Order: sequence, then structure tokens, then C-alpha cells
Amino acid sequence: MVRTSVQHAVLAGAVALGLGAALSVDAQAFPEKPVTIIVPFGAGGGTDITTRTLAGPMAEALGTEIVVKNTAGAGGTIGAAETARARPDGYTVGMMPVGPMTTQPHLRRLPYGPDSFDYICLAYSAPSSLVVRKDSPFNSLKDMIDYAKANPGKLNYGIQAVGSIPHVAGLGVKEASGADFQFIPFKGSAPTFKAMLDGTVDMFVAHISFLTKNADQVKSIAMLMDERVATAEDLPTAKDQGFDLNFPIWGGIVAPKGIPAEAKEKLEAACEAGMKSDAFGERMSQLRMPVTYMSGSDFEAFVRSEFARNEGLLAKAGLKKN
Amino acid sequence: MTRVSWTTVIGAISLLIAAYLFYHTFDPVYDVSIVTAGRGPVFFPRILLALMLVLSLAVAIEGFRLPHRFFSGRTALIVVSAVALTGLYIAAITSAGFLISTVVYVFALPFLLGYRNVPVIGAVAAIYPLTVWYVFDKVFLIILPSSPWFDSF
Amino acid sequence: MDALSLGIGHLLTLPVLVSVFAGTVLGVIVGVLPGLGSVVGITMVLPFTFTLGQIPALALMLGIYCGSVYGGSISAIVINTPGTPQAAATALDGYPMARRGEADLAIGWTTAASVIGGLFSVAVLIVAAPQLAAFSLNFTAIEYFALGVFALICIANVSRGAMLKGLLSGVIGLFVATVGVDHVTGDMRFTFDNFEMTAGISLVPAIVGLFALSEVFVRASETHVLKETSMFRVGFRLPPWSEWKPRLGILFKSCAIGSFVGALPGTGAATAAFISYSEAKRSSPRRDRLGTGEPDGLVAAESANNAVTGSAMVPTLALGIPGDPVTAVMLGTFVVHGLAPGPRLFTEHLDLVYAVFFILIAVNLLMFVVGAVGAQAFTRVLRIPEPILMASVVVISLIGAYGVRGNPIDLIIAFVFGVVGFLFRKNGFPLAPMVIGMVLSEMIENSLRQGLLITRGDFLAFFERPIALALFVLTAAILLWPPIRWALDRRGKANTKNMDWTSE
Repeated sequence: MVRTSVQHAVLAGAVALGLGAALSVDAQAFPEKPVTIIVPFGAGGGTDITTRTLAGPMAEALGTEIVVKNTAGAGGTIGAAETARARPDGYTVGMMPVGPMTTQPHLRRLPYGPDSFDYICLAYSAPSSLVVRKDSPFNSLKDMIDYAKANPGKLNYGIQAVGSIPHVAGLGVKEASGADFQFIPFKGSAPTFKAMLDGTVDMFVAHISFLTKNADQVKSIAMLMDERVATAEDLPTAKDQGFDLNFPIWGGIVAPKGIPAEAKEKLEAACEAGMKSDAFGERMSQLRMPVTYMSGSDFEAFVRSEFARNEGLLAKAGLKKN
Repeated sequence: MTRVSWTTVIGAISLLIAAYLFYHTFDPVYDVSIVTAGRGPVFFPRILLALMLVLSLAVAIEGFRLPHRFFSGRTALIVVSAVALTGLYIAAITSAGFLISTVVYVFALPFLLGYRNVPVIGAVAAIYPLTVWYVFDKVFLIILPSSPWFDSF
Repeated sequence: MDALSLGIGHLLTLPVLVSVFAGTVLGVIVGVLPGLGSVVGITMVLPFTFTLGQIPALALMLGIYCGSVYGGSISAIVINTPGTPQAAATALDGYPMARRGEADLAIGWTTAASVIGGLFSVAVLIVAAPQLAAFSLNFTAIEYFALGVFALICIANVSRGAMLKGLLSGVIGLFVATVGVDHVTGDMRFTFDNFEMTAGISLVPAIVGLFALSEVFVRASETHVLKETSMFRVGFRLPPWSEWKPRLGILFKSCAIGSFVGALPGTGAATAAFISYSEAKRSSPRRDRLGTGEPDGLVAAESANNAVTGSAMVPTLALGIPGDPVTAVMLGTFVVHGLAPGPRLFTEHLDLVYAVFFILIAVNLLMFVVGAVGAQAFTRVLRIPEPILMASVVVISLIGAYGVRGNPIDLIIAFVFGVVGFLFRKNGFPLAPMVIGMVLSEMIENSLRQGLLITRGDFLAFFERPIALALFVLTAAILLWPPIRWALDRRGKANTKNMDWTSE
């Protein structure tokens, strides 16, 4: 590799700076170095893109750089565990979605739980929707349930991952309606979608932005929300159709338990500022996602209630272990 | 040492591992799961392990026809040292950080492989790890493990 | 047509041309670096894609995508370490050729084959995207299973000469890929209560170990045959037309295989490369030389894996189904600009579709230039004193192993595979079958079990589906033909023809 002497000098300077920073670790105000956000899924996925969108404006409010680090694997639990056991100094936080926070811990023994974290903010919460093919004869939950009852064991319900929110939502639909259908697990949303287009599965639960992206080929038969959301006023909810099914797909920023109060406050304020920025809002509206902010304490209460609710559903389905 | 070929040894090791894992698939931990269409989590691995058992055995037997061939003492020493050094390096990356351990490794490995031009090795060990670390950690933002002693590396 | 000139207009703007250039160069670089591939490249530019306009963002990503698939072949040739899993088949003949001192020629073959493969698939995309998309919907889990079983023939094909060892290596590959989460039940398998292991054994660290680390140990065991570095030719050399002529059949067959496999979401360029490599090994007149530095292998692998890039856009654009994280991110940029992928894209935004075509063509042509220029630098790597080169390779490929998931266990996995790779290589166990096994395992297992769920547990129902049945029959025919031919030959006359299906 060819390097000029100028580049060498720049490099040497950078190293000297690094050393300088390394040696001057003392009680300065938070933040004095970049903050890392761990994303427990791969680059380019929904969680990753939302995090990267938020990272820019949030970094501005925080007054330091924010680095997004992807630690993927095992349904997001590897990244969640890494966040839980990081040094609790506020410089490592995680963007934790609903799965690794509230469903995976019921499926197997994990080295973390809701008590392993300090809660900074809820960063997004989007309604999910029960979708079918555009040419499907089902136009409402009732159509589907009637068919399922008349033809037991005929319908296939695709799930993106075992124990994920779409799966738990499917269990919820099954329980609420008494309809019978076969779950077929795929790995991720793209293969599940393909299976619906090729006729293998009849329905699945997806994020609202999926519905936006594929409006040509799919339709919603029920938004799994209690109230209609501003970004999808036209779509009836399950509640409108007489079923109590509320399965938002959310994620928020958490820190390892026990970070300094000052760091927590500043992160919380930066998260709020970032979420209220134009850049973030614009991008969310492109995906028809509502901007839903929650403070740390509200977020913690929310996580704990979701945790308990999902435990019940998974236990009923015989999926809960330990 | 008996005069069996390495092929036989590899076949035998593979046989033992496959046998153990096959036995392990009967562990009750795999029973409690929801079984779908009658095929649980070890349905497919069990097929593979059965194949592995048969093939390992066949390879081990095939190896009997091969001559025993081993490295000379000196070569074996170099190989074992290179393996050990690389293993230590990998352990050190997570405990002592990427930058420090890489400097040591890049200095030590060429030396071990018989390259004795110390000024060249020294220069490479000084510049290369730093460049790589800088490019990945700072430019590409692929965060590499840092040491417990310093803040940035 | 209007859309056509609009499409060209999209390409011929400064931001787009700059993006095409930057993307292709960056793509080749991340492709060359072992372990880093398309996904890492895309992640690096993700922040820019939000601020760039839509077409420049697409150009940047398409450049990275195609460039990285090609770039992986360079490290496969120069240091026997496929820069990306897609290039694993390229190492089989590229590296022996480089060891003969002909790295410049090997890069010439792969560059030309890559560009032709890439352009071929753009042509397929232009001519038949909607039809191909519709066809891909005939592939349900059951057909994927049949395709996976068909692809398993590759293990047998690349194991010729060491059949038992190759099959064992292949089965080990199939097995290690099952470690970790079972995607059908959500259970953990073979993790022995080690939490880090629940992430499973992924392909990149395994390849880094099998190829890069084992190479270091192999060289350590051969220090007495230190090669004079000046024997390695530096630069870029295109093979003459007379060399191409007998290989045109293989070239176009491989282009077709790549384009077909690419159009099926979730199969990928590694599978395509191995299927066409194995087809070359089965049918090429020079099949006996494959694996020893025969250009057929390079042509087959590289034209096929690059042919995937264009046709992977088929399900992405025409159905909105991304086949991998890269195309998934590209889909994202469409949505940001208020465009829904799907059948309507081709009627309402044809100019954009054309823009994608022209960008792909530009990227492929530029790739040739980047390869030809870059080869000067890349082949020079071989002149670095071997011990120093080895240390550098270990460092950079371990970063690749770690960087993909950021999980330290991947470093340990790479090390274990390094030792295994060393023992295997020293004792005549082929490594390619293990990689093929790892690539195919998940697809075979998941599609088998999904298929059984769809048919409610009835395996015989798999044979009622015409495409699946055809693939099963083809598989059986290819496996059974050599012994039949051998028996016929023997009965006909006492022909001492080489029976290539058994081990020696």
C-alpha cells in the first residue's frame, strides 16, 4: 500500500490525540467521548435503519459522536446480552426491540432480563397489521375467521421468527377467535412475504412500513391496535372489528443497569430532542410510522407490562420454557 | 507412537465426535420443544450425524492403507508454535485489545516463520497494525475490541 | 422511447456517475478484504444514502454490490482466502494458478468472466424481469428443498479423487451449520448451555479459518520450500481469444445458472458459483485438470456469481422481495422516495427501472477498469516476503471474521476452523465440500421442514409438484449416470476409460 508522508503525519497525529484522550480520563461532564449504540440485528434491517436515522440528530443534541454497532445473532439476544453486561458508564447503550426484550427471555434461559437495564426512552412504536394478498377473498378478520372455522386446518399463517411479535400476535388472534390455522416459520420477513405471494401461506403479521412498501400486492385485514393511528386512518383496527388485539412493534434505548444519573438524564434529553427533530420525523412519515416517544420511566413500565402479557401468551401456546 | 496415518486419526476423531453428538440428540432438552409435523429440532441433525458416523468409519478404514507420514521434529515445532501463537493472539484480542495484541503478533509470527530481517519486521509491526486499526475502528466504524487500560484502544 | 432516454438521462448526471465510481471502487475494496463483504460495504455508506438523491443512492449501492462480489475473487486468487463466501469456488483454481506465478492471468480470467456474467444478467433483467419474477413464484419451500438436494451433487462433484473424504467434509459442513437456533421451533441446538454459541457458527468466520488461518499453518509446515517472490508475475493479463473459444460453452452455461439462481430470493451467489463450478467439473472436457489451476473453474465460478447480481434485482424490483440484506437496503431507498416496488414499478416508473439497468451496465464496465488497474497493486502483494504477508493476512481476515457480527466467539470459531482446515489440507481432505455444506444446510433443512408443515407431514406429496419432481429426477439421473455409463462401457468393450465417479 502506498502512503505519502503527509498521510503518515496525519496518522501519527491521530494516534497522539488518541493517547492524549486516553490519558486524560477524569471526572469531566458526560459525554466526553463517542457513545456506542448496539443494534442487536444486522445492518440494513428495520431496527438498524431507524437507529441510524435517530443517531444523527441525537448526536447533535448530545454533543458527541454516536457510533452504531451491529451485534447480530440468536434473535437479537446476543446484542441485548452485550448491552446488559457493558460497562455502566453511559457510553454503551442498546436499541432494543420488542423481541429480545419481552419474548425471547420466555423462550429460553438468557443472561439478562428486564431488571438488567436502565431505561432511556422508547424510540419507535409502530402498529402491526394482519396482512393478506391483495387478491385474497378475505377483507376483514371476520371473513378469515369464518373461513377458518368452516375449513379447519386449511389456512397457513406465516411467521418471520418463532417467538417474535408476529408469532405472538398470531397466537393472540388464534386465542381470541378460536380459528384454527397452521403456523409456518420462516427466517425473516422477505421469505415470509415470498411464501404469501407464492401461495404457501395465507396471511401474516407485518409492520406498518411493510404495508406501505408493498401496497400493490398486499392489504391489511386488521390493524392490531386499539386505536387508529394518524398515519393509517383509513385502515380498520381489530378493535373496530370486535377483537382486543394490540401488538405494536417497538424498540427503545436501554443502558446497562446502574449508569450515572447525569448520563441517564443527558441521554434521555438527547433521545427526546433527536426524535422531535425534523430529520427523524420526515423519515418516519415516509414509512407511515408514527413518532412515538416515551420517557425512561414510562418506557420501563411499558416494557414490564408487555413482558408479562407476552409471557402469558407464550405460556398458553406451550412455547414458554424455564 | 503407533504407525497409523493421520487420515485414520482424523476419521477416528470425527467418529467419536459424531457418536457423542448423536447420543446428545437424545438429551431430554430436545424433547420439551414444540414438535411440528412430527419433526423436532434434532430431526435433521440426526440424519447428518448418522451419515457422519458411517463416513468417518469409512475414512478411518481407508486411512489404514495410507502410510504414516509425519513432519520432522523441527517443522512440527514450527507448526505447533504458529498455531499456539495464533491462538494466544486471538485470546489476547478480546482481553488486551486489538491494537496491542496485533503489534505483538505481527512482530512475532514472521520471526517464528524464519524471517529475520528485524528492521523490516519492526517497521511493519509498528505501521501496519496502526493503519489497520485506524482504518477500521475510525474510518469504517467497525469497532474493534479495546484494551481495559486505555480509553480509545 | 421516453422512459429509455429518461433512464439514460438519470445515469448521465454528475452525482450518479460519481456514485457509480465510488460505489464500484469501494465495493471491490470491501470484497477484496477477507470477511468484509457487500453487507459491510452497504452499511458504511448507509448514512450517505439518506442524504443522496434516490438514483445516486441506488448507483452507490449497486456499485458496492457488484464490486464486492467481484472483489472477493482477487483475494481468493492472491492469498487463497475468498474475500467473500461467494468467491470460495474461485479459490479452487485461482490459487493454484497464482502459485504457478500466473496471478495476473488468473485475475484476467476472473475479471473478464465477472464482467460478462454481470452484463449477461443485466440482459436477462432487461428482457425477462416480470416473467422471471412470475416464474420464481413457482418455487415454494418444496421446490427449494428439491433445488438444495440437487445442489448437494456439488459435494460429490468437487470431491472426485477423494470421494470419501470429500463426502465426510461435506456432511461436517452441513452439520456445523445446524448449531445454534433452530429456525423452525426456536430451540437451541448443540450449544451446550454456552450463551455465546447460541449465535451459531456462521459462514464468514468458518471460511476465514478454513482458508486464511490454515494457509498460515500450511506455510509454516513448508518453510523449507520458501518461494522466490520474483517468480510471481505482477499486473493484469487477459487470456487470448484462442483460450476463450473452447470455454464459451462453460461461460454461457454458468451465466445462465447464475441468472437463474439469482432470481430465486434467498439462494445467493455462493450457491450459484458452486453449482456452475460443479457442472464444469462434471461436463468440461478439461475436467481432470479442474482444481489444479484450470481456467474453466475460474470462468464457471466468477461468471455465475456475478450473474447473480443482476438477476437478484428481479425479485427485488418486480415483487418487492429482497434476496439478501443488500437488496433489502436498496428496497429501502425506493420507499424513502415514495415508490413501491412491485409489478407496478415496471409500468409506472419504467424510467427508474431503466436507470437501474444502465447503472448496472456502467458498474460492470467500470469493474473491468478497476480490476485491470487494481491488479497491478493486488498482485504486488505476492511479492511481500511470505512471513510478513501471512501475519498481515491473519490480522485482516480476523477483523473480517469479527466485524460481521461483532461477536468475539467468531474469533474462536475462526481459530478452530483454522486448525481443522490445516489438518484436512495436509491429509487430502477437500475443503470446498465443507463450505458447500455450510452454504446449503439451512436452505435444505428449513425448506424440508416447512414443506412438511405445508403438506401436513406427507413427504410423498413433495413428488406431486412438477418442478420439484423434475429436480429430483435430474438429481437421480446425474448421480446414477456415471455408474450406468461405466457398466455400459464395460459390457460394450473392454474399454479402460477412466471411471470418474469413484475414488482412486
